[in-house]
Amino acid sequence: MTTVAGHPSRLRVALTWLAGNALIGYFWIFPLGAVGGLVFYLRARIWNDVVPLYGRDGAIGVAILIALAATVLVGCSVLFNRRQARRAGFPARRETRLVGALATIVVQLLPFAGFLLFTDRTVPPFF
Amino acid sequence: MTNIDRRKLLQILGVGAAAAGAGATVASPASAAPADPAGPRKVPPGKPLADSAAVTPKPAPPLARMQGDMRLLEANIRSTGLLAASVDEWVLRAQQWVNATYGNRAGYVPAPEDGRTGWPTMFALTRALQLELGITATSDSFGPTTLSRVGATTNGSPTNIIKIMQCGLYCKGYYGEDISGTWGEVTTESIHQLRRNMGFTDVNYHLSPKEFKALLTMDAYVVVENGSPAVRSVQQWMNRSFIDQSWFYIVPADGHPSRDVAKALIWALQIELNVAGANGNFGPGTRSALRARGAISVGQHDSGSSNFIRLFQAGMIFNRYPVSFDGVFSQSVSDQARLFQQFVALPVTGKGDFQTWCSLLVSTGDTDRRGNAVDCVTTITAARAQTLYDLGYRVIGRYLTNVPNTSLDKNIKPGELQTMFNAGLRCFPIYQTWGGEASYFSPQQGHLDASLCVQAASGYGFERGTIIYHAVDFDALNTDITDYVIPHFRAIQNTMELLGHPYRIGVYGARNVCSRLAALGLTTSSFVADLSTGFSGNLGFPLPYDWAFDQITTITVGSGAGQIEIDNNIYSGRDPGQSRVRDTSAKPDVRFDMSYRSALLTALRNYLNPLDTPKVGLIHSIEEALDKVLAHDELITNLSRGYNVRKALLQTNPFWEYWKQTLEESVADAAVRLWYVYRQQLEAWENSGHLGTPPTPMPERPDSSTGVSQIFAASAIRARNWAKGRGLVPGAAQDASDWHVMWDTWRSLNENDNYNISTVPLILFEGGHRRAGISGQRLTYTDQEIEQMLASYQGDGSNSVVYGRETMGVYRCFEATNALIRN
Repeated sequence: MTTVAGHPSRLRVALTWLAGNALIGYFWIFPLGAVGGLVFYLRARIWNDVVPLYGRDGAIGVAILIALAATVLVGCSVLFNRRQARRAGFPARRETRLVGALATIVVQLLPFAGFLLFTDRTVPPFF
Repeated sequence: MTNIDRRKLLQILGVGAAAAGAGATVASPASAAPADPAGPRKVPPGKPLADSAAVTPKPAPPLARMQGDMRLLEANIRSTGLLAASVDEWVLRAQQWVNATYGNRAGYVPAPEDGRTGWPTMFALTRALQLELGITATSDSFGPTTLSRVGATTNGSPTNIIKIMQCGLYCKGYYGEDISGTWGEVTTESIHQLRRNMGFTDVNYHLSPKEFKALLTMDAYVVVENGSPAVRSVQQWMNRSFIDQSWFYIVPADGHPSRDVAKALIWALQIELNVAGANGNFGPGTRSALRARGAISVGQHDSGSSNFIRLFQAGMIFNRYPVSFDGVFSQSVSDQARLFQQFVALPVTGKGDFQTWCSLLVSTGDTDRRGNAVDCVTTITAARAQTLYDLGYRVIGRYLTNVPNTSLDKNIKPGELQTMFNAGLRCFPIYQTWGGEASYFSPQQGHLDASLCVQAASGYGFERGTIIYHAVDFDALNTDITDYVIPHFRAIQNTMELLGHPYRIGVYGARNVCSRLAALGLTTSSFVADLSTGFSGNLGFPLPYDWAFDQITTITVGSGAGQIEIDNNIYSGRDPGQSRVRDTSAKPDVRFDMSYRSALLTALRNYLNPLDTPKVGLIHSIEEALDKVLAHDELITNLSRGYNVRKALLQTNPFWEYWKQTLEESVADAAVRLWYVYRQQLEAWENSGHLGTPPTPMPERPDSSTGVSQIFAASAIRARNWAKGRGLVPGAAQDASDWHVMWDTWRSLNENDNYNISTVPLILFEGGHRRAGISGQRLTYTDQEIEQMLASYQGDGSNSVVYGRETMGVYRCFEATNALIRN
């Protein structure tokens, strides 16, 4: 299903874009969820008003994992979305990019929002 | 086919061990199964046994040989366990011969062709002999008719009778001259050896009827299974001395004073005392004759044909007291008699008096003795308590539970213990639901019994460390004890260990049951069922070394309201019984009622969801954590009852920690495991003298909080050592600086939920003591004390205060639900 100009149909690109970003968004649950735990660690260190999930070693480990996961996911996200933009033949205008980026962020945050709002917030069974 | 060829054949067919056994049969007759009447298979005179081939049987026809080999192979394959030790080629051949010869005769029951000596084989040989003697109404018993008809077996006897005798010799472990039917020098030598082992010193060239009867039994005439040579020498003396008496049949000479031996001793004593109608039973006639004979004292000795003192010495030897067997009542015999009297709680006279005779000969001893302890199924009222006290009884055995599905109401009633204590009596608890047959006993039942007895005993307020007597109320044979009773008690011990040893384990049973369990360290005290004199586990067995109560008679005492039927028990003083119980006004917790689950879950969610604590990305949900705790409800309930603390205290931390688990903790656990694997490899490499390359080093990570309750190994060791130091749990302190100890503990915490959860109370008690000086265990801890104990689970840092506050809310949720259930 290609257009006469050699690009795939926009519907197909849109579905691929949506599915890919939803998948990436699913994996964002882990670093974002871990950020919550790290926040409690920092609160415990600074204000001593909560009990953290882990100690210093754990916090360092989690921070490293968050950084690595975020790097990988941002990288994947950029590469994937650029490819989809090329496939769809979108003009490389700044406004278009901005809208696309915002839409991507929204889609990628959807799984995390669902995780927060509609689950018991345990580690997703997929993992 | 030689034995070596056979070994090769069997090795090829994958039963090498069996082949070795077949080859070893002749060279090592002791390889017979323990029940076998093992005797030394003798080398034929003039044919020294250089190797197994030296006594290879005559070559058989090829087809028969092959069939024999295949049967041997089948027998090896069929038999389980130690194949080599359980199959005897010669026994197999004896079985094959007797079956082939008499298989078609009416009245014959075939022997199993398994190469193992046993009663069925002996019965088959007995029936074969009866058929040879023209007895058509055959039976397994070698009775008076068989005895009267068989006569002396000599080299002139019919061939088949000689063959049956030779089969019996093989089954007894002696050389039977290839079952040839010819009485040659080999048979003569075997008969001599058999008779010597029986205790005869004269040389005979025939086998008397009594000897033939003995040959076709499972009795052994050499010391077996840790038998006593001293006992054996007495058994041999009895055979030698009484063989001509019409009442006497040859007794085993195996070093064990069995039922028959004990009965023969009584019979001999009856003859000695001229008791009319001697029958081997220790009845009133024998008792009065013994009383009339008077006590034996130092300086007396047997004279003439009298064996009175020798019989006393035999009784002492059968009870494992080392005395000479010479018919002289020396000072040394008197000293041993004193020790015996002291041990069985008799007046210590050093004489061979009536009561000592009784205790030597029968398990009840002198049944007129009045003990200081009783056990009964009847409720002890104030009047009955007074009766018992006035009669000198001080310790009362009472039942913790009734037997389900029966009408017998025997358990301790509310207020009964206090009635007993007020009257100056003490109590020892007995746990018996059924226990009246072997099939009752199993590891599963043992676990259940331990659990139920803890719940029952704690319900009555019995203090930690009380000895509870678990009943084995049937005539357990040795095999029953091995197969059923021991695994049952091992399970009780394991469960008690898991629960932190709330109660010590005692046993009520026959002497043999009590002794064997005590020898394995499974019980600490014995309540001996000596009243059951007919139990095979009593007759011939000495009183267990750890006996506390010796049940000898059932009597009725008192009158009117004070009348009561009791089992009269002799009391050694080893278990003083309980003179108080803890206050039971505060109800202990009971098992969780699952109909309250959803309410508890809602309460926990309502408390935890708004709580400002990390709860995103945990591995387990609140519901999963609750289910995890409820899955261990039996253990937690028993722990709470054993330690006499609220169940909620022991539910809170496992719930919280399980809920709070993250993936990071799994990573930490993996790191610990890798570290100890490295340590093990390093140790192995060092022990090998640095053979090969050293293992790859791993980052040092000796500990992590692990398992369902997230406990550090170091914390567990510290808490357990603390508890051991205060006598809360038994055992020696462990060294946490030893990495082996750390690794074992960590692995137990990580892999064994029960161990992990059973460590929680100790951590809380130790932490509460360390943090707030809380001592003792009770149901009435204040909220502040509970919070301090919960907080200590997080250590002593500032976070622990928040932790205590947060978990206190969880405690309240659990306690509110538990209170509803227990009330």
